[in-house]
Amino acid sequence: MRDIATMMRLDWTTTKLHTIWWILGLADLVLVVLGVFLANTRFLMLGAVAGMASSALMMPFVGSQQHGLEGMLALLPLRRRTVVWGHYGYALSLVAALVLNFAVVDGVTGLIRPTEANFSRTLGVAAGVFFFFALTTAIEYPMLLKWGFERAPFAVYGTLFGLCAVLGLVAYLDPFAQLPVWPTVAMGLVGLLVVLGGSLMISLHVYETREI
Amino acid sequence: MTERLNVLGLAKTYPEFALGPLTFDLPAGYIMGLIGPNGAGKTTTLRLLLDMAQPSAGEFTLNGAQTADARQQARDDLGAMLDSTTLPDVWTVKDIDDNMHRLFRRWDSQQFMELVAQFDINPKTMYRRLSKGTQNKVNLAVALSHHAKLLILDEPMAGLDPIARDELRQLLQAYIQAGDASVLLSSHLTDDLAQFADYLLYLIHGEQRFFGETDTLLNRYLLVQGGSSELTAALEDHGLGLRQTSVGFSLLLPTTDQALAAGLVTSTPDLDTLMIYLGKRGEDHA
Amino acid sequence: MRIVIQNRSQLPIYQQIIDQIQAAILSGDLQPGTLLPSIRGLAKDLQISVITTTRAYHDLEQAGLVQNVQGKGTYVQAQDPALLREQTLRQVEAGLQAALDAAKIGQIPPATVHEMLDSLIAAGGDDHD
Repeated sequence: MRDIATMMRLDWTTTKLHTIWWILGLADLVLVVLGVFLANTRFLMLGAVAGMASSALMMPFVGSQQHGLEGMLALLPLRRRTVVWGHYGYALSLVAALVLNFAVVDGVTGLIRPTEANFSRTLGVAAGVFFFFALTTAIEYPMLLKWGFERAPFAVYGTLFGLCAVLGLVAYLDPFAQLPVWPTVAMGLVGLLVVLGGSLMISLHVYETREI
Repeated sequence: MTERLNVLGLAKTYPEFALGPLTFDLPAGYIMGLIGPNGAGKTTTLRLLLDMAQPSAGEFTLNGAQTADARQQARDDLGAMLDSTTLPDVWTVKDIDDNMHRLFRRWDSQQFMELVAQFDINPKTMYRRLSKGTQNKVNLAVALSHHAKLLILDEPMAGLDPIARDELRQLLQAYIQAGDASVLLSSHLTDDLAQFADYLLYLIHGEQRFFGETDTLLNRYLLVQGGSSELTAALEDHGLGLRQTSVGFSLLLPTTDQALAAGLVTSTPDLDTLMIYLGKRGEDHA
Repeated sequence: MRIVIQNRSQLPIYQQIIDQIQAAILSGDLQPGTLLPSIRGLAKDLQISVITTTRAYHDLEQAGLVQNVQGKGTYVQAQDPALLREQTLRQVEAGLQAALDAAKIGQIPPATVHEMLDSLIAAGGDDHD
């Protein structure tokens, strides 16, 4: 457990996020101000979150050298399975943090300017974004772990493209209007866990014998 | 006697290149040099030992661990540096120190900072802004700073001036002083190596040409020189790396055949000369 | 303690070490009971391999000149005086024989050789050119 936390921490420190937290805070402030005085900034924020999430998710695999940081990981007392668990932990905690940030900013904006507020909708959107990027992780990570970023950029962009297309389709068809809320959410959650679990298993297997 | 490395029939096959089988041992407290022409498979060998690639055949024990997973967990006892070793782009020396402290059980901060100073590394520069040579030095400093029982270094001397090479040699000899830790290093600077390496592993074109004590290899051949008319058929047959010029010939002769060179100029070749005559393919006969 | 090795010499390094330590022991520069540098310490000081110094000390032990005590180090052995005398006699004989050979080549008569020997002894035997 402790080793997984160590690995997650490594992934976090190798992205540049930890050096630009203050920029994020500033951006939040600006967004609140904009949200209060202008109209809906929700989509702006979603765009920003989506952009950050998709690039940050790949950070552990991208580096100035081949294979990102695997040259270093091979020399550390971390088992390959620990590395995989750590990557997943990093991805989910990253998305959760960004989504939480979005929800908080949206909520604060809503408090200051109640006319635009719709908390359940905020929560719904936040959950949806989390769901979307958890799915992205589940699809991308086994491919990145098997081939590395240099050899699988198509995997990454193709996934995002594909999922966005599916999202568009779902939004168009809008089946959610017909379905009961809580059972759908529960099923969605279970489905997500199953997909993530399967993805993790594939990744563990794939990375065990990966050549660095 | 404890052995830091125990390799049996290790081999790796790629489409364009085949390595092995390799069989050798490195006891605790000694230095082994891995030598051979470019492309001989030195780096591939080290990558196999570091479990960065899986062998096609054979097995090995490193610091007593026989499986890849066990070896990975015992990385506290291993310090390594390859050309492909990297550290995160944004880390400075301080970041490295802080993180390695958490990652290695016996991380020696003082040792690390001393090496950083000795290698003239700017502690405030981000890793990605350092030159490749300096990056290598940083990686070397990390490898040397957590009291590992085995060091595996790929061309650590490359790019260093003679003074720096001498300092590194001193560091490595000090490292094995207690008789417990061992060093395996590959190098092109073979004359330096012949001096202080206890064992040599010599690869030519993926094959293990020699493994054993340095002196054994050096005494295995004689350098024979003479006039063109003195080149007998027997000499040509038994000799290696024949060179003929307008002023005579020279070749390597196995010491066991030295009777064939009676009356000619013979000498014990130094390691560089030996490797030059054995060449890229180590051809036995013309 | 003095050991100086030459890398480029035709004489193997371990042999150079043996020769120098042996000479020091026989001449009395290294007294019996003296602790020699450790095998590893010597290797580091001379910048050579541990196997080389190990071999030198091993051969010296075989020749009865030193003794390796487990856990403590390598000590200079007391030499058998009769043996030492025997060795020294042989060295003197070899030196004299070399002088006679040279005299024969230069056709110097034995009487002259005797005179030279006497005058050298009279001068105290310390007259080195």
